[in-house]
Amino acid sequence: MKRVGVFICHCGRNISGTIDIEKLVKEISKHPGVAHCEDYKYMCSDPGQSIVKEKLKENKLDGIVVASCSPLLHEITFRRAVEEAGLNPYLLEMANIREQCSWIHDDIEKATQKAIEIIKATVEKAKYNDALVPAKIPVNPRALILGAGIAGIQAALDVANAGYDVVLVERSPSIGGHMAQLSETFPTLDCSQCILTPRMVEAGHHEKIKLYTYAELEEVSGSVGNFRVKIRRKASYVDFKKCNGCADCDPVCPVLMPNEFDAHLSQRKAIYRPFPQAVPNTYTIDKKGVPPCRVACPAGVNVQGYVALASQGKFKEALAIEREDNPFASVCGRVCTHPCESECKRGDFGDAVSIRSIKRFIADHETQIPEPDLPEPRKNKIAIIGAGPSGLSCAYFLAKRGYAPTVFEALPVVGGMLITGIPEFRLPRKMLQQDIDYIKSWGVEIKTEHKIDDPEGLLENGYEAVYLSSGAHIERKLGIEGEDLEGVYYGIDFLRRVNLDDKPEIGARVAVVGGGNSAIDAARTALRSGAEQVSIVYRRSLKEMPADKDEIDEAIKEGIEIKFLATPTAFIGENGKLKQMQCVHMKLGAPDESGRRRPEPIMGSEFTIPVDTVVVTIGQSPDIAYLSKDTKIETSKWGSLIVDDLTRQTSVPRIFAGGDAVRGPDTVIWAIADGKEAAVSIDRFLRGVDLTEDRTKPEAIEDIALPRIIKDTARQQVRMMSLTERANNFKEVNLGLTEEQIKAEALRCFACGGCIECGECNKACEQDAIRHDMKDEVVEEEVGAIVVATGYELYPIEKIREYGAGKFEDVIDGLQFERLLSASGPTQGEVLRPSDKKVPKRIAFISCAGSRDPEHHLPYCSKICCMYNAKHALLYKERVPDGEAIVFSIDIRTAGKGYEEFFIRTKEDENVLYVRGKPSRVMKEGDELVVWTTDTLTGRPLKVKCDMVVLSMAVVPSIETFELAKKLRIQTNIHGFYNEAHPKLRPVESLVPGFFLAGCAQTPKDIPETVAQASAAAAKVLEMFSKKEISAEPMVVAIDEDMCSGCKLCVITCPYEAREFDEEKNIVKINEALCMGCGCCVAACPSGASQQKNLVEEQISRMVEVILGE
Amino acid sequence: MANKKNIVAEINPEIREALVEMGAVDAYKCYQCGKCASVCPWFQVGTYEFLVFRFPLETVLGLIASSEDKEELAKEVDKIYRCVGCEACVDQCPLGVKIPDILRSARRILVDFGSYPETLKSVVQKIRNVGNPLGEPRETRGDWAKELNVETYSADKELLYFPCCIPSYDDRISRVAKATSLILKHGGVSFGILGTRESCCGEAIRRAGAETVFNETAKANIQAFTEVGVKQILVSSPHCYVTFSKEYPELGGSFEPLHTTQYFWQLIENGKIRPNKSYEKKVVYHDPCTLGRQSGVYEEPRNILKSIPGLELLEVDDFSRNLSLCCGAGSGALWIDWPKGERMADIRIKQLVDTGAEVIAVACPYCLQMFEETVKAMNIDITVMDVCEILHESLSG
Repeated sequence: MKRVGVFICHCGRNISGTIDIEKLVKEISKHPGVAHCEDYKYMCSDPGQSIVKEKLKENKLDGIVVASCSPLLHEITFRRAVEEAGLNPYLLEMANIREQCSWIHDDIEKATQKAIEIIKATVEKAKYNDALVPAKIPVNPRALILGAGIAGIQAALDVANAGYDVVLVERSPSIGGHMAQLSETFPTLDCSQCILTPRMVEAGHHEKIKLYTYAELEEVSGSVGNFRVKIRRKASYVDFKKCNGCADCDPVCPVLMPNEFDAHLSQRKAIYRPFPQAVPNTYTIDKKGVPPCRVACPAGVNVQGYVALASQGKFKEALAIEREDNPFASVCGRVCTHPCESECKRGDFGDAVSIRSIKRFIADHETQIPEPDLPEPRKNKIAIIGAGPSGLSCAYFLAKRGYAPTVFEALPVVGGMLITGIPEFRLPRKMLQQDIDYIKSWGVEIKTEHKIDDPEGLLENGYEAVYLSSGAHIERKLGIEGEDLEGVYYGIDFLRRVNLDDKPEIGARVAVVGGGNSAIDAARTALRSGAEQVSIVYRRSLKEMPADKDEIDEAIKEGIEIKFLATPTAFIGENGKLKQMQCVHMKLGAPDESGRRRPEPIMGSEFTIPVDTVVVTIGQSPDIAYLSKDTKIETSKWGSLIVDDLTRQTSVPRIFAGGDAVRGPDTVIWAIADGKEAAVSIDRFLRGVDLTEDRTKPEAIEDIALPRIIKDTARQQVRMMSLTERANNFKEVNLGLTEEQIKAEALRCFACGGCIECGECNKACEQDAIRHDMKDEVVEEEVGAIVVATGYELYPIEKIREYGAGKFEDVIDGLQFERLLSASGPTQGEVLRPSDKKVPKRIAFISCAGSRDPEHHLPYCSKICCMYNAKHALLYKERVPDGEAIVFSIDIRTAGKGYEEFFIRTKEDENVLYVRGKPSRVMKEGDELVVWTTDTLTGRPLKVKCDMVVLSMAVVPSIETFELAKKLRIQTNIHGFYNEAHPKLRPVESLVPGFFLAGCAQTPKDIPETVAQASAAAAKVLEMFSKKEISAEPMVVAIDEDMCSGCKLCVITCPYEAREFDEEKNIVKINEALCMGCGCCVAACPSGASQQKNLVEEQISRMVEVILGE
Repeated sequence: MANKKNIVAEINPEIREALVEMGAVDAYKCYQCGKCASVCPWFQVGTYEFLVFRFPLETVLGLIASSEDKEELAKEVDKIYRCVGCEACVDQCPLGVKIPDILRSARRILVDFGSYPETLKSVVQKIRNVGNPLGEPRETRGDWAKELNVETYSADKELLYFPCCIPSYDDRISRVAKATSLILKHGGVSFGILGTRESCCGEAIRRAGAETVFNETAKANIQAFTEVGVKQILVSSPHCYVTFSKEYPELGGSFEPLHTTQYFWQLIENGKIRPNKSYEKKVVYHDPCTLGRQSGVYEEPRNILKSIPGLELLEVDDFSRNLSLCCGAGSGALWIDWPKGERMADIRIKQLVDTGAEVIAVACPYCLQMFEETVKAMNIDITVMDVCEILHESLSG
């Protein structure tokens, strides 16, 4: 039986104020096993500790219970004391009668009873405690510091200057953190860069500091003294050993993106360094991913690429980028249905970028056909059937791979539907010819008037692969009476005849039946061919009409009447010649499989229209009659060819197909895409490479860096030829955009994907440092301690809509104002408001924007805002002496050396006006902003007009701080700030041994405090490194090997990976160095084999029994 | 010097305790930022100084209604009854202080002492005597429904329709009740009304401080509802809505209220009714405080309007949804006539008219009555309608 001594602390009146100590001593003394019980006013004091030591020896005690505060506070104190007196420290227990009893109760009797139970239970636990000896762990004296703002830099320098190695990891391309963005610092007004940059240089060049910038912690394993970490170095696409920071790449890069360092007040290039004094002083390329426009394009054209180059006037380069993926720049610049524009992110905030107009402009601008960069020729013979967009596209992409395919075309002209189906006023022949000539420049041979009757037969005549792109030419018929009358035409035939100068006879009154682009084309063609009155009859309403909206509008403008919800039922003629068209009115019923509402005739609503000519344009189907009867190529019941969706391969392996022959009447861009993909397949096939490998479509990037304020919501308007100019001719109606308009339009692009890989930087870099194929790299490091200094961000300004944030350009946050004040900022330190670059004559500074607002935002005080508001107001007054600075605040908190004096100075010397009250709204009246508030001191409601508003946004943990908390298993408070081990006594240590905290990742603080905390964290690291080895926590879990059934439940449960499975013995083993004694496994173990030392099942049940009075 | 009043006050714990007891529990929370005063509708009216943020501190110090000077007290009574209970301050307060509750506790004390506006006294009396604030006979309460053959509620019916007092008696506003009934019939919903057994929900007089009469009236309603086996109550007034959902449960009456806009949007979504007649007008929607801010119903009325073919829905850019400006009729203010130039409705109508709308759509009988009177007084050519009236017009046959 153990002899337990119980020492009860009064903690001044903290405990004795609520607990009857006398009664406590009396009751505890009676408890079995208690050999001594005594109380004292402050047991943690020196005399108190002496009492414990003396009585321990005197009474030969072998178990000690100190009933006082939480073990978090003084367990170590008393363990040390008993150890000095010769007792194993793990035989000591703390009974917490302060935090868990006296502080939270006010009924003395009940609190005393509870204290008795707590102490008795602890005595029971003490009775069964074993003497434990902690294992010794060697310490790896290298420190890892995460985050290289001022906190990380300071900690790194302190540790390194003490002679130990440091690994410093920074997420962004340069060290320096937010402090590098600041102008001057309060209260001394030192220039932030002047005091920081020397430190940055020192850290960057320190022989003991290994710097990883543009890098993130990927994984950490091991435990205090011996961590293993994996660090992901993100690909910067620039060889930092070669880059000398000369900045030659900067001006040539065409991609403009929001500049994070200037807090989005300016733009930077996709190749950038955050600021000229960056450490390391090298460039980084920002590649975000594939933009949505490119993903939306069936041919995968690098849309953002040519748009960016066009914005810089680099039209030749832009056209080259376009032609990488699509040879029909001129055609698609006019008639593409532009799926890219539907996905354009600009479209979420107004009009999408007018991508098609940009494409057209660059094609029109660059009429010289460049010399092709021909590859090594390949000898394989390939036949392509049909010289439409699909066949020509396939030929082009094969030619670019070195093949010399032959294109067979039945007609005497080249271009397929582009030439026969699209009228000149939409696609001038000359412009079509430009694209065809470009394709031909690659050595593509086209044989016109060369109809192929048996494509499979070509394979026996030396052709190794065939691409079928014979289009869709069979006209659909209405199936009504009178279709064979003279004067009834079909759309494609009609257009072909007009386009190929075999003009059909067109009467004065023309009706076109249908609602697609061909119907509109036919109607407008008829109008230009002498018809006096042209109408379109369409069976659904405008909403369902498939034709391009712009084309419909133009047709109406030209005087074409559209009769909606009507369809012909018979053509009535005289002497075989069409005279009248009988129609019926329709109504819309339930939606059909296309999602459009199905038209149904209204009985008895028939009417007739007098007509001379009708053009029926209701669609076509593929013409595959030329395939031999016993063809092995599979076809669908609609008479189209069947191909593999990805490879465009038919059921005959050497035969590929695409375009309208497969799809039925479809868009040009899909025809081009089919040709392009088929070329990839044919090349792979001929080289014996798998057709499908790595051919998945990329996902569009979602994380898009939007500009701070989205302006220019409307696109540039294209010029159209006037109606009089259009009459009776086929001149192109759409005149496109001017060069100035094109540049402005291209600048509307958000540059979603970042770098466009145009290669302009490669050309400019004399050091040959650009590496577009660079990949992320994961490096491993071993360290003994980790300092987390991952910093803060400002609460997003858009979250306070009532202050006009994100809506009004001149409402900015504190960091943005710092950039406006900074000599290295977007205005070189001149205070100019963002909207019109005028000097603001009155600025409103609003405090507590997001802070101290538990109902809507954050409950805590962000601590630094009062002071930086004062600094902002003062600096503004210095720069703009006739300006007025008004600070709206509810309290002014200036606790700090020289802070109050600084605050007074802003009022006395600079006459900054302080209004006590929280504004409710910021409104806009004309050019001015108006702050709505009340001055609570005078009790006057106020509307304060001003030119600019600066919001002191709350300080929140950085995203990295959030992410690392999970990876490192460091506890945070509910706002995401790291928790320290003890708020007063261990402020720079986390609860996880080996992790130390510095800077705003722990809580908002200013620079002096941050630096002090960083040095303190460094001191703690050095304290650890000063010992060769450290003691491991002995209260870990032990496994009863006889009871363990090897179920491995605990292996999955353990959050610290402290367990391994011994395959041979079929039991689990503990790695004591990794075990944190959390007890998860004890709860998980079904057999009770997992037991925590000095907290075994017997102890717990004895404690419970005592509390229950058993 | 003897006739000079001593302005140095003393803290009065008795008044403080009384106010806290009556519900001013949030008074201690306030940190005096004053944001409430510039979100208060009186800020936009601009001609009456109403320093909302003073009330919590005056409560804690026990200074509300502490003066013994009659004239002073009369001024204070006027001030205390200036709050229209729109809760713009509650919505925007960083600490969630419920200032209207503080004022209600002050009003309860004033009512207990009989020191409150005469017009309100008469309204309270009328509600006590005939169950409605207009003093109309109880027997004619269901008369509006006669021409439509609306049945009396019985337990086999799906819904009790509770039209509120003003739609029951007022010629103009009763068109809302009629439209509501016709939409219900159109959708094939089985419903009935209580008619003579229905009393005022009591919301306004409770907020005006008449707690006792509120309790009596509310209990009468609860008893009537319980006796006829009411499950779900359809209401035209968001004021009835908050009272049934938040206040009747305190008195043991748990009925599930639904506002007409919520219920009719459900009917549209389920395909029970389909607005298919075109309503080619520009309509601006005014969020009633009690339906929007206080009940969180913002989308349903808008969804109904958006579903009407031809209707173009407009918004008051800076003052819609939770930032909507009160019509000025809440918390008993409907029956208090403030001088010209001190009326919220004038400001609100201007905001609504400035959108270029042809029709103002509301979803509350108080707003409807206020706006109808205001457009007449201001001689503005604009139509004011309840959402249900517009919906009814867009249903064919």
